[in-house]
Amino acid sequence: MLMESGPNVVFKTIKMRLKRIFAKEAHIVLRYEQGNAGIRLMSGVAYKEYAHLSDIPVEDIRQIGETIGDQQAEKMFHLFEQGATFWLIDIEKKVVGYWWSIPGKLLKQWYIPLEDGDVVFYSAMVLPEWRGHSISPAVLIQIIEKKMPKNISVYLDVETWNESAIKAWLKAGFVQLGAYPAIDRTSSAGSC
Amino acid sequence: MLKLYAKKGLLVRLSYLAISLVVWAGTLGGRLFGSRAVVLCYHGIRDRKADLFRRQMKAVSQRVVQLEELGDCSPRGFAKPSVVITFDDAFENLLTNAMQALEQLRIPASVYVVTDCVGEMPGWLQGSGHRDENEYLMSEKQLRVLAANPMVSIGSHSHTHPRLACLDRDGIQDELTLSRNALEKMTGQGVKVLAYPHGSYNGMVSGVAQMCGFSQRLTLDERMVHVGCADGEIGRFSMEPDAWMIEFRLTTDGAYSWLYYFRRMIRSCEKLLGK
Repeated sequence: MLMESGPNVVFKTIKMRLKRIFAKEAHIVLRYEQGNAGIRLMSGVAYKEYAHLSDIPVEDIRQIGETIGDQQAEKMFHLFEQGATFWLIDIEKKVVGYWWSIPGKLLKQWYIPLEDGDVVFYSAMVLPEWRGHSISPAVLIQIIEKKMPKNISVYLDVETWNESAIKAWLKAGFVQLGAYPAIDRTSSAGSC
Repeated sequence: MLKLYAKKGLLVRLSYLAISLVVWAGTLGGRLFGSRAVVLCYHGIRDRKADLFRRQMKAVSQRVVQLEELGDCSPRGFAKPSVVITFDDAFENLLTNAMQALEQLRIPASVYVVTDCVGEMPGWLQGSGHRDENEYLMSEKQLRVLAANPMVSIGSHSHTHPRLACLDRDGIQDELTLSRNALEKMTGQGVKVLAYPHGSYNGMVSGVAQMCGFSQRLTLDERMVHVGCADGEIGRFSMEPDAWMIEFRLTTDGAYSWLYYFRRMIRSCEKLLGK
C-alpha cells in the first residue's frame, strides 16, 4: 500500500476545509449494531490502548507531538484527566492516527441520552497520507469486538460534509440515529 | 447580523453594507435565491417605530410566507427569496404597533412566547438596563386571542429565557416541556416550533428539543433556509424597525448571508490555530 504525498495531500486538505465551511453545519450520530466481516485490518496496522498519559512510551509521545503538533498534544493531558482512553494506531511502529473513547456517564453533553455503560468514540484522526484506506473503521471495529463488553452501545458522530466517512461507517455496521448541530459549537450566540 | 443595526459601530456597519452590496449585485439582486427564504427576527416594536415597521413590511408584503408553510412551498425560480416574519418574547407592544400593519397588508407572522413571564415584564432583562426592560409581555388572554388569528402562529421561546446551551440535559428538558405544555394549554393548539433564547444552542439542546417534539428550531445564525425542506435548525436574521432601509432590503434579498460563512471560516481558522 502506497501512502499519498506532496501536492495531493495539500489539495485534499484544502478541499476538505472548504467543504467544511460551506456544507450544512451538522453532525450525524451513529450507533454500532453489527460488525461487517468485509472490513479487515490491513496487515501491519496495530493499535494500543492507553488510560494514562504516563503509560505512553516516550518514542510514541515524540511521534504524536510530530503528528498532531505539541499544542494539540498538550490537550491530551486534559482528556486523560476527564477519564478518556487513548487508542493509538500505528503501521510498522510509525504513528498514523488515533481514537479517543470515553464512558457515557463521564460525558457532560451528548446529543442523545446515554446509559451508564455506553461508550462514545470521538476525536479520531488519521494522517492525510493514510486516508482512504478504511484504517479508522477497521481499527474501531476491532476495538469494539475485542475490547468492549457485548451488552453496551457504542456511539460516534461524523460531520455531515464528510459523506465518504458516513458511507464507510454505515458499511462497517453502524446505524444512523439522527442529525444534530455540533456539541461544541462556539458562536457568540451559542456559547455560555 | 446579530445586533448589527443597533450595537455595531458605524464603520463596521458600513463595511458589512459594502460587502453585502457586492453579494447582492453578484446574485442579481437576490434573484438567484428563489429557492430560499429569509427568516427575520424582531423583538418588540416600540411606539415611535410603528411607522418604520410598516414601511419595512410594505417593502416585502408580496413575498411573505408563514414559517409552517415553508416546507410545502415550491421554489420561486428566478426570484428574490421568500420572507418569514417572526417576533421573539411576545411583547405587548406588538398588538398596538405591529399587528395593524400586518393585518392590513395580509402578512402572516409567528410569535414566540416565554411562558414564565406571560403578562409580566421580561424577568431575564430586569436590572440589565436593556431598552425593553420595562415593556410588558402579552397576557394569557391576549395570547389566546392572537392564537385564534389564522395569520398568526404561536411557538415556544422556552419557559424562563435562559441560554439553553449552558444548561444540563434535565434543565433543558424542564425548560422545553414546561413551555410547550403551558402554551398548548393556553392556546389549545399543538406547538412544534421553538425559537432558541439568545440563539443559544448546541447538539444536546437540539437533541432534547427534537425529543420534546419541536420539529422546527429557530436560531440566530444568519443563514437562509431552503423552501421545501424547512425542518431542523433554521437560521434567522435579527432585524430592527430602525435599520436603514438599504440594510433591510439587502437582508431580505439574502445579501447578508455571507456573514454566516464568514463566521464559520473564522471559527475554522481558530480551530486550526488551536485557539
